[in-house]
Amino acid sequence: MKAFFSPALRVASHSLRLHLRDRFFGLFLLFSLLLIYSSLLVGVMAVYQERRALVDFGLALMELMGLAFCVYASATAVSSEVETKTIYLVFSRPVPRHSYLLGKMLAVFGAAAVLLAATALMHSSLLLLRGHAPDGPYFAALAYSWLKLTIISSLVFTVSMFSTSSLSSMVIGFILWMLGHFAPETVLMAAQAAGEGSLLELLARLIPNFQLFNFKDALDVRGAAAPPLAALPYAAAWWTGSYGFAWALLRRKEF
Amino acid sequence: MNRAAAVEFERTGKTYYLPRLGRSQPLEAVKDVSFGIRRGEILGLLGLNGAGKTTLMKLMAGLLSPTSGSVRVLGSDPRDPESRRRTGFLPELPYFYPRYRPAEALAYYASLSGMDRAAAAPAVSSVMEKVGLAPHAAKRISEFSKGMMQRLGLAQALVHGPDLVILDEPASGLDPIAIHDMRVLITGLREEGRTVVLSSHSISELEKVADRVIMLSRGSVVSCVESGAWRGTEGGLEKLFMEAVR
Repeated sequence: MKAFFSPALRVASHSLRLHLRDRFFGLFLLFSLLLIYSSLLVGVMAVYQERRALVDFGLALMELMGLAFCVYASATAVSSEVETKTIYLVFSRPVPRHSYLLGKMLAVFGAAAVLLAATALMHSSLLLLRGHAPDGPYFAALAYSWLKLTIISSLVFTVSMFSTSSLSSMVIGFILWMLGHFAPETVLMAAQAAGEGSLLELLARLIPNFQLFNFKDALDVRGAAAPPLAALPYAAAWWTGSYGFAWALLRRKEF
Repeated sequence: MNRAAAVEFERTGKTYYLPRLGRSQPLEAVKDVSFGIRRGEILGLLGLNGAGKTTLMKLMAGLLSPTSGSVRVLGSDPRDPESRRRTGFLPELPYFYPRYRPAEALAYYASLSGMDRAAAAPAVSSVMEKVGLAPHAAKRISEFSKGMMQRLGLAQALVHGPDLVILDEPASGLDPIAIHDMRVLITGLREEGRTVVLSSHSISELEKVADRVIMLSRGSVVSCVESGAWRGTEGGLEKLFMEAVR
């Protein structure tokens, strides 16, 4: 176990530092700051619904910024090391490929958590400024957004193992993100179009259902919803499946 | 297994499959190669572009698997963790994260080689001193010249104290003073008892440092010459190489 986790944690901590020092990370943060503070205007326009407008707009922005960062970071995590040949310096050492992959994925998950935490800090300061203190469900909604980001990151990692370029991995990642918000509808349409049990329906079921994680949609209905705990094992299943598939592809690669 | 051998290739072959529309096209990079590398020697690999030098080095570093035959490094499979722990590899034109300082990069690679923090810190200082990077310790890698990058590349290959050092074109793009320093470093490794394998396009460089040179052409070994052969011959290694590959 030590031989598996020790190199993974070393790769993870190194890669996390690189993500946090990356200029794109700084740009995402700056852009988030501008957008979150500009949402003050939305709050003013909402008049009596200021809290709702500010919270909805802020959470959606944070998730979108997190998505852009995660898709970019996951699509380029391994391919940039291949292009710069730094992967030779790693794989010529006693670092198993499964540990390397785990470390890279954990680093993106960690960077996404830092990005969400930093943007949440900015957003909370804005809410406090307007007299709306963020509450427990607000932070639960953030945690569910993070879970969504980790799932899409895992999937983009898998896609990046067989796609021809980082750009195509990113495009596929965004498409999966959009489809994932209409997963039950996609499955239904596939079943209607090609019949139940068809290959198309099976493929549609391979899209993660991100609706499960949209706890932020329930924030407006105070006390009506509890965080969906079933989403946690669902997320874990997607991490494990994506990791396993990505590893199966990475172990066959030659650099 | 020959106990005196650091590396043994036995009827080794490596074929790449290049993706083409509809089917992949095989490219035989190394064909039925057999030779050994003695412990403590400096072995040069000499050949034209595409002769198979880098493929042989990647096979030794455990980055590639042979398609046929076998490779043994320090008595075990090159992909074995223990063998990797005892091997240092410098790829051609190495790249490092530009925002790091050299000690940070070296500490990371030392940790990946299995060194703990307490052992890595003195090893990093010592190797930086050895390759001449100590005066530049405060600089970021983005400020490094090509020669300094190459020194850092050599430092990462040496930081964990490997028994076998594989250097792919270590003098590539360096100025004459940097080439001289690199040569001194490489011969110093032999004096420490390490085995060094290096490839180069520069015949004169190999002439100066290598104990033995293996000449490759189109993936096959065409000749293997000891240093005595070119030192006592008019025209030196260049003449021997031309005769072997033409």
